[in-house]
Amino acid sequence: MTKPTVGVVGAGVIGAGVAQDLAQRGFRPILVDVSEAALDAARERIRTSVSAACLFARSKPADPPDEIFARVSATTRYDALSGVDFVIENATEDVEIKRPIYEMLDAVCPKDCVLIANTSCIPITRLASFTKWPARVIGIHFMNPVPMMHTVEMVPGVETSGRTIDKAKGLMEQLGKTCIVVKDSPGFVSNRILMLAINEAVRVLEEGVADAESVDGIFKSCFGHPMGPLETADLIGLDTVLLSLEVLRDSFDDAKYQPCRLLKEMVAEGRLGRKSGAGFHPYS
Amino acid sequence: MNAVDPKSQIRDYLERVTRHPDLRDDQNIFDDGIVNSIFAVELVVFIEDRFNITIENDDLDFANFASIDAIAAFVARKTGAA
Repeated sequence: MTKPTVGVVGAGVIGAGVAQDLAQRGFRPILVDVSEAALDAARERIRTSVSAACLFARSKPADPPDEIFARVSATTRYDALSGVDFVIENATEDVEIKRPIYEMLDAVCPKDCVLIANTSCIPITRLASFTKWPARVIGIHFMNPVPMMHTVEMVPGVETSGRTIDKAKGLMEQLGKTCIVVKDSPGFVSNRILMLAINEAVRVLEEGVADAESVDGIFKSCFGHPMGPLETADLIGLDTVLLSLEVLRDSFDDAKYQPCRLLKEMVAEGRLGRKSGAGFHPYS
Repeated sequence: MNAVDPKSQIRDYLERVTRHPDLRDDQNIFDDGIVNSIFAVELVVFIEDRFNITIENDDLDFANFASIDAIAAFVARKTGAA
């Protein structure tokens, strides 16, 4: 089967992971970000992640890491997306950052290009309203680390067409991903529930009820979860957790999503979790 | 043995980040579940950054990274200290 051309917008942790996953599956993704520094960091992240994946699998890869890495082209220019079949958008979890990106994609992408919003919490119907053709917009919530997580949360918006859903499912099949389809709502299923649990776990820490090791240990040892809520927050990135809680609070107009003080302090201090080398636990 | 000895640096890093305080130098950190697939990426970054080396395709042999002893020997070879 011919592989479609896929643009990936946003070169943060999740965008780099999407590009890596596509490249490992033989696609030639075009990674776009307005920041050269973000693109440089993404290149380095992809190179080391491909190497580590080979190492962990204890096998020489079918394709050498250098070859996989070479399949990713990175650019600051949106017009590189003028011929793509799909765009996967992974910009920062902020409507005002995402809005001009959708307007730009409308201007440069072919009219039948499917726009996939990889958002943590923002309703897909709202993002689709920023384009002239909302029928081609669909939400797919990829999990981090993208190449290792084989299920995605798929979220059609109110106006998403059946054709868009079918094309998006076809792409996910080529990526080896299973889709769980849910209705459009802030935070969908995953983050509507998870963010509340993380916020409460941070509050437990803030109140001194238990230390981070104990909080995570209870979830791992008592419930059999592979990671506790604070380790999960460190993996997601505390900045993304904070933004997600704010989107949920504002979307539902419900104070139960109010981010706790310690979370806001840690983000202000740049303690963002794994990607910054420290969060609730040390990583460097 | 002092604080700048590569093996000590590797042990300090692994014990701090994996939160396993009593690793043996010959303990297989993959077989014993100390390194998971997510941490493997950070281990590669640590080795490259701390010892200023690049892990090439041909270096991607599990035997080079299986224990503190193995990583220290690999770093020594790459830096010409062996």
